[in-house]
Amino acid sequence: MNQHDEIRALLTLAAARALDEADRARVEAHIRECADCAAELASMQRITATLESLPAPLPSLGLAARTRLRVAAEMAARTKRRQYHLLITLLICFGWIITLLTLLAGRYFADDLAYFFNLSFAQFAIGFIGYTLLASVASAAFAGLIGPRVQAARRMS
Amino acid sequence: MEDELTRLRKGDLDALGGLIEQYQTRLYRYLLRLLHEPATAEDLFQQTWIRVAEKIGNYDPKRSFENWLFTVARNLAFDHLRRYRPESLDEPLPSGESRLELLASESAGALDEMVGAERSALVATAMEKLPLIFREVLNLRFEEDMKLEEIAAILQIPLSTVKSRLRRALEGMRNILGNRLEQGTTG
Repeated sequence: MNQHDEIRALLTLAAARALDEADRARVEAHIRECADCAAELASMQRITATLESLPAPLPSLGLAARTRLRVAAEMAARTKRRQYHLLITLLICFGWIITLLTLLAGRYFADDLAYFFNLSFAQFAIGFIGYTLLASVASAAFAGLIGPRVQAARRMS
Repeated sequence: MEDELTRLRKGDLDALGGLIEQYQTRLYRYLLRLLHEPATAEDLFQQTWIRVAEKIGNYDPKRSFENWLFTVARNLAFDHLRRYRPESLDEPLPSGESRLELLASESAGALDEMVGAERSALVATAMEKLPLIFREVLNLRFEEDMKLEEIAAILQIPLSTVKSRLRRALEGMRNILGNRLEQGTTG
């Protein structure tokens, strides 16, 4: 590649004022002697000058105010969602703790309780199953109550 | 602005108002150049500030806030385009020809579609016909007056790639415009 071609390849970046000092000096020296490259650079500079002076498209009125409101609403919804998630996590933990405690209590006090309430094994077993079913139904009802609210909060975001 | 940034980092959302006002025109213009549609640009503008409010804790105060803000906006815009207009992301065409090359070969037809004789209208129209990756470089360099290093930081690409995109973008502009700009100037 001769010097003319090398400089030619730099003209676009020269018009964009994106050359380093050394290359800029080379381009300036070359265009003083080369009418073709000077014309090419001038043509590119007409484009870059126009790009620099393009009128800024304006956003619709009140965009900043609407944005502030939307950000505030979004952040409030997120806080609420976090609270719901925390509440659900706590309830799940609580449910597990109660279940484990029940199992432990059952293991250590089943005989005493059956004796105290004068229950047969079958009656005690039915009572225990009933208790477990009740706990499950209550959990499902709670999830049914809370779930739609969580989803609604999610949809708002 | 540093005061507002410090307040925002501490969770004071009221500090966002001043920043939104300050960057409103520039950020909106950048998004509009990427997306073309004013309504989408405004929606993404709002989403950008929501993301800023959420992620301000991740912002490194040693870096330029402006670069970070434009990077956030760009990522959201690209996600949007990937989801709704993947064809606009300027992958090479199935023929192997780039969209820019195709545009150059169709420049005569493209010129016929241009309206108005004024320079800025001609150039803005030509710019809209460029692929997105070239439009955004032109916008950041000439409209936002950013240095090439800043553009590289926002686009997360090497400086050499910024230079190459800038060169190809301007060549694309010239191919589309032909000699219309000279005619517009003299006529």
